[in-house]
Amino acid sequence: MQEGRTRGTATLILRDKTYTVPAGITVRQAIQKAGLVPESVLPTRDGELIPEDERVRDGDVIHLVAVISGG
Amino acid sequence: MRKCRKCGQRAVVYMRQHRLALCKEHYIEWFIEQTARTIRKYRMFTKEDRVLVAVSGGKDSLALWDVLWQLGYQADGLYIGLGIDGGIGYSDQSREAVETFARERNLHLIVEDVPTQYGEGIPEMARRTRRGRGKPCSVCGLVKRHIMNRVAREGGYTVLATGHNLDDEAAVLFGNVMTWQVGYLARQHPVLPARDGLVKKVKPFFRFYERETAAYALLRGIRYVYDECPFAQGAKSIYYKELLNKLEEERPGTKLQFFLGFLRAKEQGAFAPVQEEVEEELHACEVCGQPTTAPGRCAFCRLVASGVPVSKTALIAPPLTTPPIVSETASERGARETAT
Repeated sequence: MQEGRTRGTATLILRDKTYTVPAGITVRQAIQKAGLVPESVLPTRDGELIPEDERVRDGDVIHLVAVISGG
Repeated sequence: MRKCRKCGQRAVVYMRQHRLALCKEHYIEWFIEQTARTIRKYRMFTKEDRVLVAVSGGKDSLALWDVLWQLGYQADGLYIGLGIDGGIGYSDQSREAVETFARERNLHLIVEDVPTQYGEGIPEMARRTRRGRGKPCSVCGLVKRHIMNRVAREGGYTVLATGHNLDDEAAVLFGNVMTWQVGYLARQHPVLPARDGLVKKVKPFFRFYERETAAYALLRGIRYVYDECPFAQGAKSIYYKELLNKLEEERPGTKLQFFLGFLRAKEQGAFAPVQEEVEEELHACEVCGQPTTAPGRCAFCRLVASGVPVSKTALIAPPLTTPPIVSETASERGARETAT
């Protein structure tokens, strides 16, 4: 996994769990780095959907919306 | 940075299985067009049909109602209050989400409240019956299917639409394959024609990944209930969905191929009813008039009558309009028994 030049960390939040990931990688890579499956979540910032190929920035807070439902 | 295939602007959704990236505006447009295409291709319904959409307050059913409304179909909503609290006021939250959605779009919503009509909610029904022992999901399914069919018949609706997506269908298929439930495999299809007192059932979202319906709901600003049903925790279907998503990560398109391949195999004659299976007639339930395999009361009326008075609404359900004798295999019978 190649990381960009940006230093620092970003936070991913999924329900009541938070994950710290390095800044500079793509959102998709960040989700994988957190041990999650990108297919099962949608990344949002300030309530807006963001592309998976966007790079996470230092101090970013990305909320992941779980897409799986059912029972 | 991926660009929208249609306009070249920055894409917000990328569907790896289609290798398709779209911006917000064109994703919404694509999603609506694809739904319309599925409805036409599988002959689900036309503009002349009166469609009843089963809405739970979740993303899929509200997204479906939103799309059908935008496409100009005659689509009313049905919300069934299940009396589930789970410490989060689950049913109250769901009802509020559905009522707000309908009010904002000036859509007609029918509300059926199980505790009001039958004196107890799903958790209580489950606790006192063998069917619900362990988990109430089986009781919940029975009650919902019964009420959906009854309301559709009473209201003169020709089609009942649900928001099931491809992940739902693939997970059910996966579970049935794992246990070789041949009867269920024979019956699983996005379109179940009307017959013998059962209203036609369709799933216009069955080709969309769950991620896509969630993206549509988010991009359209639909306020849906995000919390899962408290009883869904640890459900096998969720486990299967997670497994399938792991496969999808490695090989994009796996889920789609799995389910569409299944439908193609069915068209080619696979999973046909077994000849040796005994054909059985259907009867009208002596209480509610809905179809049931055994003479007397249907599974639903047996459930609500064991200690709880049946509501007047259930008693005035119209009788079957077609003769109750039909040909049915044992595998279909199994599936139908759970439907009533």
